[in-house]
Amino acid sequence: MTFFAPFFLIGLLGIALPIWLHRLSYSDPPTKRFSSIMLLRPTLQNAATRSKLRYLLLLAARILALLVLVALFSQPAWQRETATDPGSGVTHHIVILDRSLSMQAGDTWSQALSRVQAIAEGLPVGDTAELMTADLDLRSVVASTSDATELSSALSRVTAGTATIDYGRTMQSLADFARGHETRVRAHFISDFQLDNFPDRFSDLIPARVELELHRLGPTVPNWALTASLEGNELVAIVSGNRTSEQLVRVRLQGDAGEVATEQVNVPANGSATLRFALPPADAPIKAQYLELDVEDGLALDNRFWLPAGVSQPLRALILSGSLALDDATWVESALKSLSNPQFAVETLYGGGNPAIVAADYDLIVAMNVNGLSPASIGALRASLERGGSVLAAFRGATRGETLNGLTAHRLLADAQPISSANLVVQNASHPALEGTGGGLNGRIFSPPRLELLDTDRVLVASDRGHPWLVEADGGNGRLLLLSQPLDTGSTDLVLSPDFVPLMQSTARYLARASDFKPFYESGERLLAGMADSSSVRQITRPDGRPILTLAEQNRSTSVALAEPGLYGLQIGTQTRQVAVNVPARELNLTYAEDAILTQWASQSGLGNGSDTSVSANLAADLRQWHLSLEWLLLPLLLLLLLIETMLGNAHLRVHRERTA
Amino acid sequence: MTSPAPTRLLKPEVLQGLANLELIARSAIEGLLVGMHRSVHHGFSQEFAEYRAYQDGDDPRFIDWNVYARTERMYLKQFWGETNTHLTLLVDASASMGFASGKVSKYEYGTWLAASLAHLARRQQDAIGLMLFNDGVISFRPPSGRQDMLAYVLHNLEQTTPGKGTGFARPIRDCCQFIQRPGIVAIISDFLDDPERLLAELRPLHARKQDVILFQILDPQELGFALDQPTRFEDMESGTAIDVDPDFIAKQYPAAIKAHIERIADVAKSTLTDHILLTTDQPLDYALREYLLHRGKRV
Repeated sequence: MTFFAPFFLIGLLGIALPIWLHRLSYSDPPTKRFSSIMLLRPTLQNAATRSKLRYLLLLAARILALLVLVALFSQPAWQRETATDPGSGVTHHIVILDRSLSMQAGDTWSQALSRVQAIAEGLPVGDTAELMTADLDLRSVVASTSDATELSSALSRVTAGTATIDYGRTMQSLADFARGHETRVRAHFISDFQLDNFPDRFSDLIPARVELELHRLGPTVPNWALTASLEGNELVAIVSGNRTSEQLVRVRLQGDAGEVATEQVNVPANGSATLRFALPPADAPIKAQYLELDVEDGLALDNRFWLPAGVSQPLRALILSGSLALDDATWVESALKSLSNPQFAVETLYGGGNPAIVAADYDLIVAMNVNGLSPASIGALRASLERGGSVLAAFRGATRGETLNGLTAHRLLADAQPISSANLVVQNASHPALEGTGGGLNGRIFSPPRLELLDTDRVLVASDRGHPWLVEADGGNGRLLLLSQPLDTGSTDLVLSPDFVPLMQSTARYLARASDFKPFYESGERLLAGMADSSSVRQITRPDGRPILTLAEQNRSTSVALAEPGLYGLQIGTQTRQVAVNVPARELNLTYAEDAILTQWASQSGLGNGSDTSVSANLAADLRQWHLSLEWLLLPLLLLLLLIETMLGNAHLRVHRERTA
Repeated sequence: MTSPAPTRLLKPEVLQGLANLELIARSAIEGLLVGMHRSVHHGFSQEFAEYRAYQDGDDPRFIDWNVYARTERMYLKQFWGETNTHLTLLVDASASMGFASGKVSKYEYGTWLAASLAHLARRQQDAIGLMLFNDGVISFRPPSGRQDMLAYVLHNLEQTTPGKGTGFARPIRDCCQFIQRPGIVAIISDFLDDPERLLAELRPLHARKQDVILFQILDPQELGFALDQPTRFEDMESGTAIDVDPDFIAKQYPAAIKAHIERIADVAKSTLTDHILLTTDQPLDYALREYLLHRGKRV
């Protein structure tokens, strides 16, 4: 940011306040006709002048304090023109090579390597240099060396990546990195300067204490890009391009057994077009599928969009409600439908249940009246659990005596001394079913009955009076959670609490064995996997089928970089799930920053736009910049000014206060 | 500064309510004389007043030797006084005399004092003269024993309003031209002027054997005042203005006015002149008493 940056200038408007207070709102003093000012003149003229001077000093102190405050917040830089003496002192050169996906377009990457080579050859004697690559992170390839050949030889080990880059993050990382150097640091940033990769704030592009030389690469190459998103059972594909004329393009949905569907569309010049594909059914025998754009252009990787198998169909949930008159299904259904990962297709059945329906293959069954179901329906629930299904079963108990649910051996006992309400308390905050609660629930249960626990039960939520409310029971091959009361407003006000939906979502995700893993990732993102329990990722396989790591052996969290676009396999427990890794959307738009932007960036950051030059030695006269990162100076100055302001203000007001007293 | 003495006279604000200057002067004088139980002012007339026992320092010429022959005791023979002296009133009518922090301005107070002195002098059959001046002479009539002189004095005092600046040189010079006999000159002013210049200007009066009394009249606020905010002061005579800080007016002005008064007093002392400081909230009897004492010495 410079002194002419808008925020700084807006901040400067603040000095209008003391000026207004001192000058504009300052009225002339009252006039008093006096017999003779003969005796006032010699003694008091100086005093009046001193008072006026003090008043002006107070104004100056206030304006200065505001200026320093604005400077502290906006941290402007000031620059002056000066000739750089290449021979004065040792300079540490940091060559930063952008290895984001867009650098693969055309011959951009080879240009980049040539530029690094030229910088290495032009390295002044005595200077040191190091090579770094930048995408999501800034990584050192060659540590500090004065040997140019070391830099050149390292280029063979560097390849363009598939991740994206944020120039702001890169520059801030560079600033952190340069902070450790005592010598002058000059950075050579080699990139195509793709427009989508610029940060929101221009000031993030200015690395402190670094002279920055920008090297723009490559001409714009013709490119098409494909991306897609899911909308229900449809796949919406978007084709965009930087061509200057309209063109008909063809997109096909490809499965491992061959082409599934093909669509074509006219894409306007420098615009985009949308295509829709019907997704294949979930039970279709497809192991791999992707959308592909049938064109040849400068960047091939962004012409394919991968889809994970089975992503087409949402999970199926069945809610069994005691009666249409009750609202127990409403709250659960709303919560389940609000989930996006995974998505649930919810059906609701009222009354005692239909065994034929219950027997169908649901990923999750929520029974709000488990003790009111017919024996046949109970049998269907048992069968579902045997198949590895999941059930959330709630008692709708009587206020007296005991209630049996039929599904398990649990009994629900009416309290000998019933209480009107009790607060819910999470008992097992680390349980995955309670992940969304954050360890607390803001809700009460009314007239709570007492659920008789079995030895194998785990109480997840209870009342503060000790009534078990949500209990994990032995579900055999499946997962079974028991609720001592149905989820309706007559039994609990939790359903009205903001904590209800997160609770239901994490409970449903746990019961349906849905993982936390998104179906879609961008290349370069990291996936956190590990922890040897039944619900964690035990193995990840690359798109080519090679395993990344035997995570089960690690017994700890592991972060895995998803570098290549394609379909990755995740082994979770006994199941295998696919996640698709596609190229970052930000890298798809091969539109580059205008020269004016680069010139502004370069002039504010130090040396200049090196796009027309090969090495820094060609820059005889350039701009040097000093950042006012002088908090250590500005902060004490601000405190000093505030002290002066207080003293002057007090002196100014003291007389008035004395008179008033 | 002289603190107000206990008084049997009417207070200035009461006097202000009286209809005219003569009444004011008479009220002041009557009160004074009643309070003094008819003091006898002895002079050189042939009207016998009383005998008094001789005391050391008395003039032996006035011993009544006949009484001594009969009683072998020495008595002085005293007579009622007659018109013995001239009183010239020089009243400052400059703009600064128009200043008033209360109901009574310095000029008003000065005219009451002048009228009272004239009235008193008239009762004692002294000749009265009056000069009203500011930076020049407004009106002047040399001392005269004529019966209508008192009316002239009162009329002129009442008809004049203060204005313009102050200058003593010309009034005193004019006064000296017309005063032939030794007498008393009472200068009624605030003397907010350079004391050194005043010293030079008073010398001609002294050379003409005039007994000078300086009645310095000040407003109570001129002796010290307080401000609660910076104030612009405008000079009533010159119109120039100056911004004054309350802090400094509180600390330095009282010392400055005190020093000025002391310098005026020093000037008076160096010219064998009496200096009487009055404030407009003081009753007139203090001034009149001082005058009578002064006159007594003179006679």
